[in-house]
Amino acid sequence: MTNQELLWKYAEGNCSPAETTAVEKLLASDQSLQTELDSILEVQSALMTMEVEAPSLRFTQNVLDALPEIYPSEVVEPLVKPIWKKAFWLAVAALIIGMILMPHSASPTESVLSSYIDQVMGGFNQAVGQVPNVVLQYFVLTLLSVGLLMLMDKIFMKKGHGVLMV
Amino acid sequence: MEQDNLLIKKTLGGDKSAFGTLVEQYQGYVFSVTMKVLKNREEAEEAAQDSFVKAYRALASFEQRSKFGTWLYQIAWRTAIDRYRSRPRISQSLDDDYSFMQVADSEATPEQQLQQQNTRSVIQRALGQMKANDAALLTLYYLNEQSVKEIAEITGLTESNVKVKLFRLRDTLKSVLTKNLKGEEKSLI
Repeated sequence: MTNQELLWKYAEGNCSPAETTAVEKLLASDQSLQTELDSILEVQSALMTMEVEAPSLRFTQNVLDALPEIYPSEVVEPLVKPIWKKAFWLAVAALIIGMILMPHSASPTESVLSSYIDQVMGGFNQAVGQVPNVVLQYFVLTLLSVGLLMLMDKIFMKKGHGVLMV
Repeated sequence: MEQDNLLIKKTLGGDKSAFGTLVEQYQGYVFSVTMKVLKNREEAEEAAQDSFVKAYRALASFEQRSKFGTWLYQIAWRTAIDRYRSRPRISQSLDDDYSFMQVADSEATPEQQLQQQNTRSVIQRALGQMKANDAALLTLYYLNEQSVKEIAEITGLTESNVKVKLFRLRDTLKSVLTKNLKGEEKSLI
């Protein structure tokens, strides 16, 4: 290894202890080598402060736009399967209809149509009346839970994270 | 490195935004390499973009034996060198020797400027006039902080060849700097 190579190695801090001692001896005995080392350190420090070149601001977007569709997204199971979603909406509809009909069930009516509605409402009222309150409460609670799960599905699917079915 | 691996995993799972994070992380370094080779902003940006798209396509084959950065710089290096070689050979005569690296007095930094700034600007100019792959080699070593071994992997050169080249290039830069300083001294006298 030439003195020059050794000096570069020394400047970079890559010398072994033996090499470091040798370089330091050389530097002490030869003033020109010290001058040489100074200019090496100058180049070294200039190279160390080399700046990163910045591409245009749209660079990342341009790359993303140019990417082909080769890695398909993982298939994510929704928390609520479509059939249960249908059941949920049916139950909600039944509940709403029931709530609308119940207050009118006792009102007196005169027309044929009104008396028919009265009969239907009476029947509905009777049917609901026979269901224990606890069952109704559970029914509403189940509906709320399913609704919440459906909402979570919607949020996570939109963000692209997906919620894996446990 | 672990974060890179996680982002790669997410990308392979179809999450493009994870690859976007990798692009943001490495774009400066990749662009610096392509810029040093091609010395033209527009072309360098296209080459850098191509490099990322190529990396994305080949991501499934990345075996993580080396760092993601090293693998990516290898792609960027090849892409830039291929582009450079496909250019019409007009500016090639500039690369034949380093005599052009002598900086003219008229371009010298004003006396009152700090010595360090002067050195940096001389080195930058010299790098700008170096052979395409030589300047990129120094960039990989100093800016991208790649080891000799990694540079050998990126460029396809042997480790000893990289060491020799780095030594010669830095020595040339030192000579340029010395000549430039001497030129300045003369102009001051």
